[in-house]
Amino acid sequence: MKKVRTGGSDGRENHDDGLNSRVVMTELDPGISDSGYWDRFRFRVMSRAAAELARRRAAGVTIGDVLEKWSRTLVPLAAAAAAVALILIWRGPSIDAPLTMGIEEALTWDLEDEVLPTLFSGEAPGEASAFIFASEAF
Amino acid sequence: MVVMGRPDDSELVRRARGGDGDAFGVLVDRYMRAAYAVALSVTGSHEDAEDAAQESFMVALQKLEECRSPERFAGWLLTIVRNRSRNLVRRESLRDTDEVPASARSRAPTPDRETERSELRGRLAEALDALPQAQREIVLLHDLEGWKHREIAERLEIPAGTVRSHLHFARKALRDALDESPVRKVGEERA
Repeated sequence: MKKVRTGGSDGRENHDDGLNSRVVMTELDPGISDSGYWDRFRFRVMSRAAAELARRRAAGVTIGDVLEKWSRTLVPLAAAAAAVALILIWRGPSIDAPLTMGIEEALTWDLEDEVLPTLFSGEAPGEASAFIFASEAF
Repeated sequence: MVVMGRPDDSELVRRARGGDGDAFGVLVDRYMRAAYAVALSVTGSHEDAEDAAQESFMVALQKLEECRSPERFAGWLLTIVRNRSRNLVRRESLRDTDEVPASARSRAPTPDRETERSELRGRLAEALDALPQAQREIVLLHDLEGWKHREIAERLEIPAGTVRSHLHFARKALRDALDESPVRKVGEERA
């Protein structure tokens, strides 16, 4: 009877039992007669696991994660808005914008502050010229 | 801990708990054959072993938080496989009143060589059926999956001496059962 030795690399797994059990057992390996068997096995397991893995990923999302995700959109938007606001403030009111003022302000607008006090002070050059000045002013 | 780019089980379990499909895929790659071997040792049927092994990965994924020692994932997974397989056998025994011969439970026969191989598988399955569950599981993990004594001992959490003893008696029983059978001849031819 032919004796068959089997064994592993650790040197302790040799068995001289006349039956190459390891070789015989390969008959039970579905991958021996079907080379794609284990790939399909893995694919089926992973397909069935997809939903549970997705659930776990979703469950793992914390408030911090949500804020971080939002911040990726919000921070640039806020920065852009701040920049626009700064530019508007720096430029001041538009030239084309309508000017609104009160009646008194309108009457004195574009006159030097010292004109009227000068007119009515005693240091005026003369009453006639002061009158002319005043009539022009009003 | 990662050794030479090969992440260990505890790292993979931690990542899989967070929904990392790649990590879970590595665990499937690493243990699908062992899961099948253990399931086959319980069910004795290719189809049932396949179902039980695949279902066990689903159960393991759903209960990953219950794996208290992720570094011992293999042993924990194989316990699930064993229990699922037993449940499957129990369900089937309740459903099927007629005994189906092991040879008939193997894959559908095809002409010539495949028919012969199918018959050999049936005889081998019958010989394995006659072994005690522990011996059957160990001989399949060792000879089909290729695990060493030390790996079986660590993952099933039994002494290495017990593994060697089970393996010795399992092989002796198989030798007696298959003596002068076509399986033996094929084994010798292929060796």
